[in-house]
Amino acid sequence: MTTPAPAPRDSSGNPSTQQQPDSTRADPPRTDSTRHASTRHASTRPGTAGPDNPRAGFARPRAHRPRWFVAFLRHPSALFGTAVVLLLLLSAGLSFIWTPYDPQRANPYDQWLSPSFTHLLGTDNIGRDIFSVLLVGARVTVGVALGSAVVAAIVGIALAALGALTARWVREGVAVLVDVLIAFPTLLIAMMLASAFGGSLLVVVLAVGFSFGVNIGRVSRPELRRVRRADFVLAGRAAGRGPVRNLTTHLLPNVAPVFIVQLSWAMAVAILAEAGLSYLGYGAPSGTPSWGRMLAELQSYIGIHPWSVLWPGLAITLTVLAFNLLGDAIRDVTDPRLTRAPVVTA
Amino acid sequence: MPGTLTLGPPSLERKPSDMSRIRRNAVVGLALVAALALTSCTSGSDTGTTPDADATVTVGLVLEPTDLDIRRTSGAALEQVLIDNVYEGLVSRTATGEIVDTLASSHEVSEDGLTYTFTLNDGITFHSGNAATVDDVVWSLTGVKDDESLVDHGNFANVASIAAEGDDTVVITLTAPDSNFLWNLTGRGGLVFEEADDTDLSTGANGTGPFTLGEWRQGASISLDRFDDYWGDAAQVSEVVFEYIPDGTAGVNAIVAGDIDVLTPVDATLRSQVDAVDELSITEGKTTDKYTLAFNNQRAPLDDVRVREALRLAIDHEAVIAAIGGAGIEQGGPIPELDPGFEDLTDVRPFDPDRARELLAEAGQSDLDLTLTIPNVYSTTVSNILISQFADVGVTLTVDSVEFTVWLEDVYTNKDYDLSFVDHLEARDFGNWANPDYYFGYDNAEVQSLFQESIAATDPDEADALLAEAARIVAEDHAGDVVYNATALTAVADGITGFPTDSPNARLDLGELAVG
Repeated sequence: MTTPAPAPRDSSGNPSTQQQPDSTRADPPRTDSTRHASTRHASTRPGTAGPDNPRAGFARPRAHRPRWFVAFLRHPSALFGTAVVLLLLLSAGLSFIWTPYDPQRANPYDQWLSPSFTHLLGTDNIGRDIFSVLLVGARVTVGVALGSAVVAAIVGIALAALGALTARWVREGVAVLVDVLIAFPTLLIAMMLASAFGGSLLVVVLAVGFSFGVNIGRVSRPELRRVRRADFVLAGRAAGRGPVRNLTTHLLPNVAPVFIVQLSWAMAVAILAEAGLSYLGYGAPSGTPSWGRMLAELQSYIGIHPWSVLWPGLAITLTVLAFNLLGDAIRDVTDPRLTRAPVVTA
Repeated sequence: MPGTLTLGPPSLERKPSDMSRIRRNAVVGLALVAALALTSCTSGSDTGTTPDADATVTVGLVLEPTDLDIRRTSGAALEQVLIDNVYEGLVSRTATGEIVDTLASSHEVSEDGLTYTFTLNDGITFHSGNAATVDDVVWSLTGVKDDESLVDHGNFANVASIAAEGDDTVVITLTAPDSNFLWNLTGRGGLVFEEADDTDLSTGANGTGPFTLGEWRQGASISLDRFDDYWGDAAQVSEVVFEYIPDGTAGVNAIVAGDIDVLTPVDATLRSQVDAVDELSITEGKTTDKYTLAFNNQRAPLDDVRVREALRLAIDHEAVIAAIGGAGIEQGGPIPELDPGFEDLTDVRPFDPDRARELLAEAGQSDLDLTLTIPNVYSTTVSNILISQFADVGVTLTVDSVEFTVWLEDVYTNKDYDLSFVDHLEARDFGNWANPDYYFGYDNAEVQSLFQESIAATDPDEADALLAEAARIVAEDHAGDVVYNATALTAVADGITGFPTDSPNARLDLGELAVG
């Protein structure tokens, strides 16, 4: 989905834009007030947009930030995504300092209380305050999202670098390996790991991180392949920079937009996977509040107490939606060549 | 202990070498059933209308047997469906745990408790059409005595001889008195099979019961058909179908929708869905399901009685029962109400968190970390409450939810655990507390000798009194905690009578089942 539309030489042919092929393509949105109508513009603009900002680099977009930022702010998906993600971070942070009740405090005599001012979202089957459990559960969500993103980034960079920058036989071997690995669904990998090592959040993080890392590697590889022949990379090499140095100073910044978008989606997948695996009993250990566990524990009462199960379900849905939309928005803002988000699924 | 495991699932007995596989199967069966079962049912009274003899009754159950070979496959799911319905023994047990004659018209135990004489009923016929003779009985029982691979082999360790006398009498002699022997005969070991039969018992059946095995659709259902040549009172329905519905919610939905006529067990927390349907009624029955919080008595700090007592005092048993929908009763000691030797011992462990904190402080364990190992088939309700209530007295509980096979390996076999929570559903399994090698690790010479005396006692009342005494010691030693003794909930559609109420997850004798 991220195969670049312009031929590789397009972005490297002009020395004046060599440092930021991606950020040059990122320019159109700041002039477009409506991203969604910009398909045509996007395809016609790169040539004209490039010269606009010869000094800007994506990795150090000082000069561009305001306009890039404005485009981001004007993007409704971005606003929604950012708001929900901030709320999530806030909830997780708040839970360390304060919750209305002890989230593990069971009081079976107070089970199934309706939402009220004493219990904002009511109580569950053993009388725990659902709001408190939800707040604390956000920690797991945040932790899994970030952890998976880190693992995915490491795996993705490693695979992409191995697949793009090494000797031909290694490169092609890695590409085939990636194609094979990508065939394993995330949940399947997680369940395999969980049954081998016992279910835990670490398993979820590793499984999601790994399988999405493979995705990222696959998507980033052609990007890397494209920029590695660029003149500025050659110049770097000529100036005596080693491959690793070249990778960090030239190559990675140029594939960063793709990366960030992918990571955002990876987080959405991670949250969904954590919820799913916890629901199946492979994720968060019992006793650790988690949204997936809440769903699992409350779902059997859906016929009698439908409200109780609504809250964790809503929290998961909104968060996953937020990360997906955020990913789309970043992609829209940074990469004008794509105007439609591919559908991301676990 | 001399070779017999009287109490307890027969196959859980103590010969480590040859019995481990069978044992394991037995435990698996029991624990799984336990996990899923909170059951019960009710026998309706005769409404006076003429029963519909051609009726089919569909019964929803939770756990399906893995194999139908009742002589070799352990597990409560198999006994529940086949014993009394398809297979019969000389004697049988009622839902409330009494022993009654079945194929035997009468039985007699000698004064010294060594000789058991059974007189057979007339006209007993196998489903194959052949008459059942004393030789079949002797062959069946001798097989259990001699063949180690058969379930309940261990229960026959005291048997000296099994012989026929005349056409209708079987005499069993023991080498030592065994007050549990007759009870054991109500289980697998006492079932009667046809000697000259070559049915593959794994998929077929040939017994003497009021029903023949119809069709077993693996993963879905087992059906039983009325056996018209039954020697006793014929069954009152023509067919019974057991539908296996592993998910509690799905089961409730099925009976609410009218897809099944009876559901046992009903998840107590969902009972309001059943109550809302006028055509359904719920009955509550007693069981011997002991949801047991086991303490590893061999491991510090749980080898300290003060710590064990503190943990028991920290648990608000009433609250736990409220949380599971009220489908349980408190049980203070190791023996449930249906079993001999029962005594109300709840006063040894009142809910008293203050005293619990004191005890922990005395024991120098004010800040204690413990791990609870629990098979993941059990709902998290109880473990979540335990986390909360233990936290109250300063005990941090980590819950390790594992596959059942892992539980068997770590807890049951290797005894590598602090606390464990499973359902011990077998009736009369007090012997586990008198077995220091059992996973409880409870080693008390006095309990063991009382238990042995009880087994050797020839007077049933004396045997019960000895058991009660031993049970009190176990309770006061806080060797473990029965969090609750489950109540069995059974939902029955209007018009269906004669469905057993008590212990439905152990036995479902459907001889009285009728549709009126």
